[in-house]
Amino acid sequence: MYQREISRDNKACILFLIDQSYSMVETLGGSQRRKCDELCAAVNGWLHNMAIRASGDAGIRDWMDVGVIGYRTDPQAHPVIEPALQGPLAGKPLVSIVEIGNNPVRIDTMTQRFEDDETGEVMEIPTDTPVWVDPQTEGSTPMCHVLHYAHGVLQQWIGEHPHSFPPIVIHITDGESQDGDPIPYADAVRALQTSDGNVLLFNCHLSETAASPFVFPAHGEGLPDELAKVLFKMSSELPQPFFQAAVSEGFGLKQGARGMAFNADMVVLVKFLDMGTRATMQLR
Amino acid sequence: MFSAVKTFCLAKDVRRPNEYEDACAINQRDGVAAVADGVSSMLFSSTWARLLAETAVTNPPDIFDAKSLWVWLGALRNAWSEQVDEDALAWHQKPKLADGAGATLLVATVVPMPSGYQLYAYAVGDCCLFLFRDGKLARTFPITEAAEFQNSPRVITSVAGPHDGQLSFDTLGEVLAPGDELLLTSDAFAAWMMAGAEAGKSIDLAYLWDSDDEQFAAFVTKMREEKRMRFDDCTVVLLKLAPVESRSRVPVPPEPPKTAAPKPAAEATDVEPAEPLPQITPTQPARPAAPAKGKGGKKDNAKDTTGDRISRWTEKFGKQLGEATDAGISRLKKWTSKKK
Repeated sequence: MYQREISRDNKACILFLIDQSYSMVETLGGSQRRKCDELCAAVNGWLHNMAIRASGDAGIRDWMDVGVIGYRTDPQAHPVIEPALQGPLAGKPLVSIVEIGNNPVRIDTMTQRFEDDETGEVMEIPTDTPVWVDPQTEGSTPMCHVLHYAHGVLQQWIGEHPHSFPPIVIHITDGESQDGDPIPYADAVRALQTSDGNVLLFNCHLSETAASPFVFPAHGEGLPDELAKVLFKMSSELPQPFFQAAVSEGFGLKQGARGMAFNADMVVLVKFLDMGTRATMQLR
Repeated sequence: MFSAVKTFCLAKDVRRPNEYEDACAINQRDGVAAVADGVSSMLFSSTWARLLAETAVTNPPDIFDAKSLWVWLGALRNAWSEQVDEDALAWHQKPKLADGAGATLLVATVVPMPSGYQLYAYAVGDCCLFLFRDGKLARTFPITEAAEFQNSPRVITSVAGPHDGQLSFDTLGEVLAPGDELLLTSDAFAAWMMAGAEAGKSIDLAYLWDSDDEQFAAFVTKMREEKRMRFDDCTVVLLKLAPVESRSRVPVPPEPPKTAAPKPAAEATDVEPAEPLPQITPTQPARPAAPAKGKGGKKDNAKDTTGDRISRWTEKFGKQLGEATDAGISRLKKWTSKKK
């Protein structure tokens, strides 16, 4: 289980579900930027890194399909569930990593600051950063609707790739579901499977406070509130390759650890995204 | 000195052989063979692997001479960078250029001796050599356990960097007999072989000798589908050592090492039959010094012949060779006197 090698014939699938509710305009704990800005930066950074990792001598290797689905409600409180990729990829729930690499919406020039270890001088270096997703915020959090949408997308993808490494869903939110109990919908998503195992659903909660984050908890006891407990129940247990990867990164995991982060700040978010997908690449 | 030679080169994706990132090369005249495995996550590793393997057999480095080694490596790095058109790189390739390419490397040199052969091998990473004697696995190098293939291997990179200070080679010196077979292979096939050997399964070399490329591809594909072999490029070099009498010439052996006088034969006792010479276990060579900044200049080692390199190897292992020879002669004398 969860051992299938990634290849063109057995592609990987990574699906992001990103909260676009209005509360995402609040600042992220430990940052001066809004949660929606930091989230899009993290997702764009992930797409950037993954395109580079998939890059080969003759271009990007078509090893994986990627989707970014945003969810919010409109002024009439109707759920708005739609692909969040923009530019040439707008409207597509899943695209290949090749299309990602060839179709950024734009290239932003960011200034990165580095401190010279010897002189202590702070250097500012312009860095080209491709962008595929821009922040959007509106309304409330129709979490059940987006999980239902994800189920349909993944069911079709699995029909076309029945023997691939199971899809990984990474859900990022800052609040509780406002359209019902999301656990049955999460269970339905996790019940989907390829011949190599069940779909993995990982959940990351963003907080505006700088409270201590819970990362990869092994049981529901000790979680701070009901939202954390709900997200814990929605989250898949880490399969062995992910468990080992997290341990090698210094996370103190216990058996039964689940793919969940609560009260995450930017650092935890980026690590969570990386840990959630690294084991699929098996690159050396 | 090779009575038979065979190679298999199978890409990870059999429908895209141009994406093959291993390399192998054989220099039959000098008895040198090499296998290299390019790191697929790095840029233009197939080119780097090919440069390493082909140069290792045509213009071998002296891995015990740090200065000479870095000149050799610098020339290869120049050759690699000359083949990269930076202006033609896509945005997603440019960040990888600074790290260059990487590859593991295994090189085996077989030198004829009066009654057999001497093997000198060196390696960086997890390409693996398997020595078979009378059809049975006798030795593996540098990997000795299948679990070691789970680790990320050391690689030789195509650009200079802080990691250069950590470059070191595993080395092996071994006495070989006519008829011995050597198999050099990249890590995916090696891991499969090692796991089978540890499970007590015998390895049918005759199957490999008798297979053509299609049969080999079908076999590897089956092993991949059954998840018994890693999904990766597969490269195999098979070598069989010729009988002594079939060699076209007997080369002049290097200068014998300075050793003590042979010990006098002990009193006749119940003497066991002569045993094969013990294997030589070399020590790890000193790590090469960090290279000077800037790219290395062109290498000019035309005067550094195979004989010079053999002399340095022999000087290093000569003491062990001498003692092993003395022990064999002593046992032969005991057996002969007993027969009388």
